[in-house]
Amino acid sequence: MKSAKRPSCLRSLFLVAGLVIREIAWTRRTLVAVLLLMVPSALALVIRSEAPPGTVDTYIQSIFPTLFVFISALIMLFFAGSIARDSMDDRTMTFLVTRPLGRVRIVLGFWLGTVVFATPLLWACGLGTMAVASAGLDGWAGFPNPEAAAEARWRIMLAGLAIAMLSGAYYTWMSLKLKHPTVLGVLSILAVDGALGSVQANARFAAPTSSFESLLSPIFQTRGTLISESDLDLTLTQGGALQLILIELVVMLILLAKSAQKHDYISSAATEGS
Amino acid sequence: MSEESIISAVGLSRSYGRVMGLTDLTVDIPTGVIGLLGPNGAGKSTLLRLMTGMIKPSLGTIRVLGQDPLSSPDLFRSMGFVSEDDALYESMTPHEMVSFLGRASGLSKSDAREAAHESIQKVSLEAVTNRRMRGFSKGMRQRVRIAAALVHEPRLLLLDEPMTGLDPVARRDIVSLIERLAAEGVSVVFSSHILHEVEAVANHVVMLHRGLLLAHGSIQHIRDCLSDYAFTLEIRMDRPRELAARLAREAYVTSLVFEGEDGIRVGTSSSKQLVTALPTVLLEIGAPVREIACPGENLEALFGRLLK
Repeated sequence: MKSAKRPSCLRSLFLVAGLVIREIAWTRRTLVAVLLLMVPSALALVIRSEAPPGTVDTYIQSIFPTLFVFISALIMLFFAGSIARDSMDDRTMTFLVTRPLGRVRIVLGFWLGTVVFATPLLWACGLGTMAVASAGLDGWAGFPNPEAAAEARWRIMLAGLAIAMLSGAYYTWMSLKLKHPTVLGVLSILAVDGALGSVQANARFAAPTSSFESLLSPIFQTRGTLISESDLDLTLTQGGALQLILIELVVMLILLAKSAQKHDYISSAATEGS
Repeated sequence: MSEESIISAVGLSRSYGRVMGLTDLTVDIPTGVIGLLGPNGAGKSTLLRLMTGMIKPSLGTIRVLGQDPLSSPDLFRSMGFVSEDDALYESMTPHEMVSFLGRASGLSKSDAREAAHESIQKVSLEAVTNRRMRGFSKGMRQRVRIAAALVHEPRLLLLDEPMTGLDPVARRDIVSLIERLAAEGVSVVFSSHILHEVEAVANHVVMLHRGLLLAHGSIQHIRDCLSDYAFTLEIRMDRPRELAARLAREAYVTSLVFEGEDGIRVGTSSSKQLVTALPTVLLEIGAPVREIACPGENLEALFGRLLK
C-alpha cells in the first residue's frame, strides 16, 4: 500500500483551488464573463472614435470606476456564486467530500480558486480599459503625469483584488446557503450595492462596493465624490476602506468555514426519495 | 459497535422536509461483502450518504470504521465511495481524474500517478486512460468512478447502485471486481434493488423498505427467521406418483403437478411441515431421487415474504 497521509492544509487548498480553476476555465460562463469584462474597454474605444477629444478622459475619471466595480462584483457572482453550487448539483462535490481533505478546506479552496482565476481577469479589464483609452496619446488618459497614472493603475489592481477576495467569499457563502445564488446575488447587487451604495449618507458603506470605490478615490471620481453635496464625507480614506474590507473579509471567511461544517454536500431536492 | 463491525448506526434517522428518508435505524454491519437491498425510495442511498457524511443525520449517530464521517476527514483515507450519480470531471482524462483524487487522498504526485495507473488497470480501462471522458459510455464512466474510489487502496468501499444501467457484461465485470476486492480483504458495501445481484455476491444483507430496516443478517439467517411460509418444491425421481399418493393425504400440501414421467411439483402452505416430512416419506417409498429444487426460492421471494 502506498503511503497516504492526510494532505496538509495548504496542499488541500491548492489542490481544490487548482481543480476549481480548471473547472471554471471549461465553463461557457467564463466566455460570457470575458465578454462582459470587455465592455468598459469597448466603451472607451467607441468614445475615443466617436466623441469629441477629452470625453474619454471624463469617461475614465468618472464613469469607468463605478462601472469597473459593478462589473467586477457581477463577475465574482458569476464565478463564486455558481461553482460550489454547480458541483453540488452535478454531484462532483462527492469526489472531494469523500477524500481526507476536510470540508472547511474544500470550501476555502473553492473560494481561493475563484479568487486566483478571477483576479487577473479583473486586472485585465481595468488596466486594459485604461490602456485602450490612452493608447497613442501622450500618457494615460485623464491623468496629468506618469506618477498619477501609475497610482491609478495600482489602485485599480488593489480594488480588483479586494473585490475578488471579498465578493468571492460572499458569493461562495451564498452558493452554499442558497439554491439560486445567482438570482439572489443579482438582486443583492441591485438593492444593496446599487441602491444603498448610492444614498447620500454613511449608510452607503453597508454596501461593499462603496468600500471598493473608496480604494479608487480621490484619484478617480466615484459615486461618493460625485453625489456628495453636503458636508458628509462619502468616501473612506484608502486605509479606512482597506480596514473595513479586511474586517468584512474575515467575517465572511468565518461564516464560510462555519457553513462548510454544517452543510449537506448534495442538493436536498435531488436526495428526496432516495 | 462490535469488534468486527465496520459500520454501526444507532437510532439513525434522516428526513427531507416532511419525507422520512431513513427512520430509527440501528444496525451493526460486519466486514465482508454487504448488500443494501430495497426498492427505490427504501433509503439505501440515504444510508450510504450518511455513511460518507455527504448528508447529516436528523437524529441518531453513525460510525464508520469507528469514526464519525462528518467530523473525521481521516476516515476517508480508508474508505472509497462510488455514488449512483453520473458525475465525472468531464474536462479530464481518466488518468488525470484518478490521479488528482489520489493526491486528494494524500498520495504524493508520483505515487498518485502510479496508483491511478494500477487502479485504471483494475477496472480494465487502460485503452482509454488518456482520452477525454466526454462521450464515454455509462459503463466506462462507472469504471472511472470505481477506479477513483480504489486509487488509495481503501479498506472499505461503498458502492451506490453500481450495476444500474449497465449491460450484462459490465455487470458481470463489477461482480467479479467486488469478489476480487473481497478476496483481497476489502469490505464492500453496495446497494441494489436487483435482488439476484445481491444474492450472487453478498454474504450479509441489510434489507430496507420505506426508510425502515426490514431485516439484516446472512441470507441464510434471514431465511431462518421466516420459518414457515408457502412455497413450491420440484422433485426429479423415479415413481413420482407414489410420492403424490402419499402427499395428497396431507393438509399442508396445496398442489401436486406432474412434470413428465419423472418430475413432480409440490405446492405447500407450510414449508416447515413439508421439509420435515419429506425425507421420511421419500425413504419409505425408496425410489431414487435425482434432484430437489426450489424454483421460486431466491432472494426476491424472500423479500416479498418479508414485506408481507
